[in-house]
Amino acid sequence: MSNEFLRYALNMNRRTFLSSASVGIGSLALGSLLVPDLFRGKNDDEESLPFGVTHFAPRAKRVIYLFQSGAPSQLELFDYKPLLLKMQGQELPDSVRNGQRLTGMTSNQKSFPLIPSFSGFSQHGQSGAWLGELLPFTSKIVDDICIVRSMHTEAINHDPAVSFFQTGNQQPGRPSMGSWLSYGLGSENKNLPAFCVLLSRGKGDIQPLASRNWGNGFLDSIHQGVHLQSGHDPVLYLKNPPGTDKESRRKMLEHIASLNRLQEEEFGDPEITARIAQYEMAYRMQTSVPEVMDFSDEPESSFKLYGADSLQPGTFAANCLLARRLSERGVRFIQLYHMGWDAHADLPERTRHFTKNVDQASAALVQDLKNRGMLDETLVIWGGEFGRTNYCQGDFKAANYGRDHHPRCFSIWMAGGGVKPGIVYGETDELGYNIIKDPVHVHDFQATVLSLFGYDHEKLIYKHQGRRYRLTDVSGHVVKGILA
Amino acid sequence: MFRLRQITLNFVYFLNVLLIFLLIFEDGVQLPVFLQVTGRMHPLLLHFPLVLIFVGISLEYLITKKNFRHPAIAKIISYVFYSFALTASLSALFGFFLYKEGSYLGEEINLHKWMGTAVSLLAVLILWLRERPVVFFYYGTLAVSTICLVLAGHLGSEVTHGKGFLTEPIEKQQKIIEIENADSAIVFRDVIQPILNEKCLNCHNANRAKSDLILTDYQSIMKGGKNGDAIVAGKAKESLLYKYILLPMNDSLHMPPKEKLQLDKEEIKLIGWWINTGAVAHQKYVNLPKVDSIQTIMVSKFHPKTGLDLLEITFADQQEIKDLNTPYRTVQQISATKPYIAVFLGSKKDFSVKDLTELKDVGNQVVSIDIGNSKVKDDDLKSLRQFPHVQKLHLQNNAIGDEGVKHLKDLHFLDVLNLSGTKISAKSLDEISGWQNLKKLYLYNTTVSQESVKALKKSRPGLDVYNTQFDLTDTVYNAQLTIPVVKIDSSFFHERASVEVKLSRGKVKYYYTLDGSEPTPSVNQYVEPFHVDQSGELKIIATMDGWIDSEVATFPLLRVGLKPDRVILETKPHPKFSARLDSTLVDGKPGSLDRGDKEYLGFFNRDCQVLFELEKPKKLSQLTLSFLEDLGLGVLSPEHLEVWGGEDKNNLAQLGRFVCDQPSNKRPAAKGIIKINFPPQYVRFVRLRAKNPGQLPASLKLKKDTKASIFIDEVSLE
Repeated sequence: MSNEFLRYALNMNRRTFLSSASVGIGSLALGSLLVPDLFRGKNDDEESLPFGVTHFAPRAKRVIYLFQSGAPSQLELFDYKPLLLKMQGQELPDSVRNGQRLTGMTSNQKSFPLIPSFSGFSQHGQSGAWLGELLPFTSKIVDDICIVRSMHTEAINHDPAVSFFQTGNQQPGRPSMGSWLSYGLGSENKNLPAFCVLLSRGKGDIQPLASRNWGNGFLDSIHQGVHLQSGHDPVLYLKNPPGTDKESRRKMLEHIASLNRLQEEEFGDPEITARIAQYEMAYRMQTSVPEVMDFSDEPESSFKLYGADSLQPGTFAANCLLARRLSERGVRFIQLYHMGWDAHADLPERTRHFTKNVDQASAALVQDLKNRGMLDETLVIWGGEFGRTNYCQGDFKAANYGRDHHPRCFSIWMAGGGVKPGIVYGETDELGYNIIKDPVHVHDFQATVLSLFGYDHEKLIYKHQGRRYRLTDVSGHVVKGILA
Repeated sequence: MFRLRQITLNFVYFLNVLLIFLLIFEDGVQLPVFLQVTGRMHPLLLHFPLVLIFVGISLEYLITKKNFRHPAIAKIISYVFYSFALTASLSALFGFFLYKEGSYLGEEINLHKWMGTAVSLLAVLILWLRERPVVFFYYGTLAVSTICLVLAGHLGSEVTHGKGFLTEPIEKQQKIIEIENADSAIVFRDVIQPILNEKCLNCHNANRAKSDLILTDYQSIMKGGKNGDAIVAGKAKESLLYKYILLPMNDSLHMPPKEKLQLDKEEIKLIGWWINTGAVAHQKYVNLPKVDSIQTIMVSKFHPKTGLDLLEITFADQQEIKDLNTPYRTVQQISATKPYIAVFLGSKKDFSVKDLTELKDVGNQVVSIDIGNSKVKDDDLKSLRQFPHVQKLHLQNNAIGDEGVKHLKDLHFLDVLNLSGTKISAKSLDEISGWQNLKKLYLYNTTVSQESVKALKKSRPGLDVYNTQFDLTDTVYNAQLTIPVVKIDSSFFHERASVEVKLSRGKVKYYYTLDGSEPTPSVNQYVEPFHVDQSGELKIIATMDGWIDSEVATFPLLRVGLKPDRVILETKPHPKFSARLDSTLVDGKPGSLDRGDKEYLGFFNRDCQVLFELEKPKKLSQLTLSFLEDLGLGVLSPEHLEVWGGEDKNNLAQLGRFVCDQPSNKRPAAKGIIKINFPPQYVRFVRLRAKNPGQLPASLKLKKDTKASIFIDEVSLE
């Protein structure tokens, strides 16, 4: 993989060589100091791996990440806690809370009354996993998915938590998971970005999402997530301006590329190479993107599978269907965000609305991939950035309540791509507050995803400003218990 | 200066004599503790003679050149060699002290000792020869010393870092795990010893047995160290080796020492399990009692060679692979450890057989091919023969029939075959059922019937066949179309408003009305954006065959007519919902579905009464009112509206009256519009009274303290 300093230092033609040689032996010595790697033997770290070659045999080739932004409540959907019903209205014991820091929204709350789930739970599939009644479709595919009930994170507010999940760091600026995989594996289809992002929103007040969550950070900008919109222009500024035909666009690109190559020879900045490649890809995307967005070749049965919403561009269901189309075309990482789960109040109403938005389409996606023989190689991930508290936010009202952010435990599910199907991993205590078995930290989750793609998360690194960075920062263990 | 050299020379003599003396009486020597410190300075000191002798030799060579013949250089050389002799003797002596600490054993350390001594003695000889005219002997001695010194250094590195330290990186790469299968692994040889080799051997080898414990082989391990038995067969908890591993990190007895590479959880588990099973030397894993947690570790440790691996296919050239990549074809080696290659040609619009035949140079390495959705034809599949090792073949959604499937029969390694969406029939299944390696077959969206699949499953029990779908007759299935999404540039408009429906995919049709009646497929069908120039209510519905009609979407459209010169609020709105008071009603700005967005006047438990005043009497015939309904918050439609008008403020006649329907069931928040027509007449004053229903319908089941309210957005006169 590219070592910009080395390439820059080696970028020397006769003239520059002679002129720098004339400065004398001192500058040559300096030159060798600038290229410390020049005489270094082959070592066994990742940098000697050729592009796209993983550390070990991968199980997954593609990801579809159904990110539920705003954090769905695990207590209503995945984590059945009958004890909460018995202890309804009682105070959350301090010994359980154990000094957990609170958000600004409940930190001045004097009492923390426990509140049970408004929705019923029942067991499904051969695995007998408990699922909330609001997920009738997910219940049907329960034997194809792996529910992790013991996720935990470090962040307590939305933006840092999403950043943490996507980039491995609460502070902005690191590359997103999709960018890392694009960097490691490249694209299967060079007519589409390796990393695509699809957004949809539910009703109500919605926390915004920053586009840096799918940013490339310090990686080449070619690894940036490309946001495909649902309107007339799926990718902004991709179309030729009026009066420009394909031919002249082609000519223009060739001229720009030759100019850029001159610059590249002179300065050796890798961003210039990335820019040339991006122009080329954008040109090819002028045909490939309208094609993938044109659903006219999709049979009606697809729409029935994904639900009525899938007919309406820009909905979560339509995005799921689009995600399947993109992954058929070899897009490596498809990141969906369904925004607005954040239920500080009116949780029952909101959860009903949002599960209606996503349940059928999420399950349909898994089923569809399975039917098409793609699930083995496509990893589907469903989950939010943290969980929700087992006590109610604001006053205690059994019928209409809210739950605050809860980083100590929450649930996500994964399917396909080498994940063990039909299991439930991890366990929380009877009050659904702390994890008592097999905790999975966000970095563990990220390490596991990378390992499914054949990467050792400790070795997929990028050196930037003198430090080696990785997605999992300085921690993370592969969760072997969920690997098939 | 001469004096200094003389002193140095004498000191070096003394050191060497001392060294010889100590060596002779080696066994009798008891090392005082303070000398142990000097002993540990050996690794520091030993680098000086190494460097100095090379500097000395280089200078000796230089001085034979004409340009460097200078007395000063000769002097420097002499200093260099004196320093060399001094440091060499000191290193040797300190080395001896370190050796006497006793943590080093074995062949190498002995050799190292004698080499070191030799260097020390040779150094004296060099000093002596330098002063005499025996150039040949002098150079000879220099050469011998250098060789001895390098050898001693190398031996020293093997003593501290272990045998084969120098060549380790090269050998490591050649090392291949011979055992492929957990069952055939001999637990001690293939699992336990490798762990010890990696994590413990640095300090517990034959050369450097700390605490007299050697862990290089089974016998030595069982012998234990000076603290007792390292292993008590069958009792891990009594085995010191295991006990020390489990001690907390900051315990000084914890092994491996804090700063060294630690054992991971699984390794500890394996060692404990091995001891508990009796710590036998030559037992195969398969013969030991199975424990689930160990089984998973063991299986993950060994990668059985099966199928393709046995063929030992060679790696393809990386450059060659790279050259085969085009924007439309991806060819990638799957992992660094195996030579296999995956090819992706999915969704290629202009697929031709050449895309495959061009890959013949990597034909042996290709194990996965995806040419789904690429308009592949039966004949194209002939070219797959050049990939004899293909395991995964994705052919979905191509116009392939039974003829094409026949071309695949020579692909003996085929493991996964995706024929979803192809034209194959049950005939192919007979062919396919003979392919013994096939494990997964995808037949979704083909004409193959359930019965044929059942028959195939029966004849090939190990084969997974996928052809199921969601059962669409299910009751939970969501078949109601989504409520239409409509873009209206301005719902309060002066001239006209443009209406655009965000179209769905598929064959969804939209029907709308503008007069408030319910839309049905017999009314206006939406085809393209249109304009509205009258106040009214746009109602729109989405329909499609086989689907349930969507809910009706309602949008008020209000044409802003005459602007009154004064607006007088005769009843006061709630202070929290009073927006910009009087001007709110005629500002031409539509409010959203949020009652708090400062576009509404909210009246709780009271009516809304407003007087509009015009400078000059105008001919009016209509009043339009736009309001909000949000039943969840107790925001209702007005019970009825009354419009009064006339020339005199104090003497107004009722012009019109409108009674609104009150909903009985909960429904989502919406905006409403009411039009009141009356006979055209000239008026200066218009009074509007919107009656607050006062009572909340019991069917809404709202909280007790919720008050009935009405929220008025805009009023327009025409």
